Amino acid sequence: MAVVPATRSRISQMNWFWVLRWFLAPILGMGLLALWIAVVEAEYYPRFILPHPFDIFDRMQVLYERGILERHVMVTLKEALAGLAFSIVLALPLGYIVARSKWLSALLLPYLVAIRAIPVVAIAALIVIWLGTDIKSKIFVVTFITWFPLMEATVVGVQNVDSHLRDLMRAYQANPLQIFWKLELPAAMPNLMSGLKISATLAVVGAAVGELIGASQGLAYLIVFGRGTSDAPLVFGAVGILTVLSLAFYGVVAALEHFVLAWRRA
Amino acid sequence: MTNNGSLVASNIYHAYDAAAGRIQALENVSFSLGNETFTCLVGPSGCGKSTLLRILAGLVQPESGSVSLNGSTLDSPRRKIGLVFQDATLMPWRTVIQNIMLPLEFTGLSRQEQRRRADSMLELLGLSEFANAYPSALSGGMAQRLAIGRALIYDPEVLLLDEPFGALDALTREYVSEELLRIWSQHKKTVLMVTHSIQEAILLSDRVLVMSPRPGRIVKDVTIDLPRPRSLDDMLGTDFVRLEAQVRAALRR
Ligand SMILES: Nc1ncnc2c1ncn2[C@@H]1O[C@H](COP(=O)(O)OP(=O)(O)O)[C@@H](O)[C@H]1O
Ligand SMILES: [Mg+2]
Repeated sequence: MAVVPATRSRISQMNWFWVLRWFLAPILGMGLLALWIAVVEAEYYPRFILPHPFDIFDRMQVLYERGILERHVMVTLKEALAGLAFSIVLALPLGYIVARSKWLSALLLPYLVAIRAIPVVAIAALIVIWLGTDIKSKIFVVTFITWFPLMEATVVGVQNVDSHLRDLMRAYQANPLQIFWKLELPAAMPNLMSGLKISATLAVVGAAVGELIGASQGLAYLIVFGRGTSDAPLVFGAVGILTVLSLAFYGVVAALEHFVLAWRRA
Repeated sequence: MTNNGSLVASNIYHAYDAAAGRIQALENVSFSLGNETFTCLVGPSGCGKSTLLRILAGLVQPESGSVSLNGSTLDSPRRKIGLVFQDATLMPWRTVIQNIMLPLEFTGLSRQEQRRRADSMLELLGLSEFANAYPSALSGGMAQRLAIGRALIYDPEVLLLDEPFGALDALTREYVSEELLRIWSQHKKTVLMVTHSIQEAILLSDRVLVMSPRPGRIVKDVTIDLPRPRSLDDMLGTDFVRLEAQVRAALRR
């Protein structure tokens, strides 16, 4: 008898969750938007401080029609992707080495953690002196911000490989390359995907930070430009697009994860 | 002179360096396992049984002493030895058939031959209908049967099992141990199995080795001369009870 109420409350919990997610959450968003519009239309703040959502939309549309928006989006996208690619190439082997070699890990880990602790803005001047203000400096900043979560995920993933499976691979006389492809890589894949989700989101942040340090194009350059010309709709629009870009990066990795880790749902 | 699958351990000593100092795990362990015999190893926990199995598998070098298989010294892992652990240790990202094929992927057999052997092993295990399922869909008993099949699929000469039924409930345990006997009767191997259950040891084996608390030594070697095939009812017979008392006394010492 006790089972029935328990089941019923579980179902009602699920219904509530569904209502919350697909009904109340969008209403909350629309409510906030309405509040924003109401505040603007009451002329509580001057419009050049808090623009009307439609002003932002119009501003973006103008830029889009003149092909300007696309150019800046592509620049930021390219920086984020290139930086993330570098980061993967750097962090995965490094993480593997730290996980597998006690010696190298004891030697390298303090420095890796110290590098990670440097605030990137603090070395902005150095970055500009060494790399200038073209795409190289942005790739550097993106890599600098994204490599650590990836390395950390690799270390944890590789260290947690089941030691009995390692024993079995040795008993099968698998060579190191086979152990990597057939055991370590798939075993670490859930961790790698989690790390990549974090880093992918940070990649867009990194590209924006890199552009703020000094740039002549890109979405964060539009923000700097908008500040100079007191163009609040431009700033709002660029921030919005950066956010969407960041979410899109996350979404692509989440989709990749869904595909690569299909076995988890079986 | 030596048969296929005769495993000899001579004067094995092994110690670990731990934070608290040296831990002598094994002290002068010697025995020889005859071809196609089933031997069980019992001993208090922490006495060095797993260490001994890892040494026999060639995964760990003993501090002194040696292991030989068919008369030649074993100093690295060999495909002639199959391993089963307490947990099934399957690869969760591989399907059942991919798991059982894993050992064959290092042998140079053709893909078709690998597949053929995997199919017939799944048949023997009664797991054919799960071929394309993932291990998460298997019960504990099925997973452990799969692990046993995986150890046997490359036709090793020796099978080492470290508390293979330790994680199973009592009923499943009986069932899987009967399955092991059935499979063993079709694929005769030299078997050494670690277990905590004295009754299980006597029911399954030709011989029971008893180890002392750490540092582990072999303190008793009991021959189990009960006729085969055996059944759970044999546990009530006087011979069985006598052997059980003998093993228990050796463990108590
Ligand atoms: N890698 C290791 N490092 C240090 N000590 C170990 C290690 N492996 C096992 N030991 C110690 O050696 C002893 C024997 O362990 P083990 O062979 O696992 O015993 P059993 O399998 O009989 O329970 C135990 O006291 C254990 O703590
Ligand atoms: Mg053990």
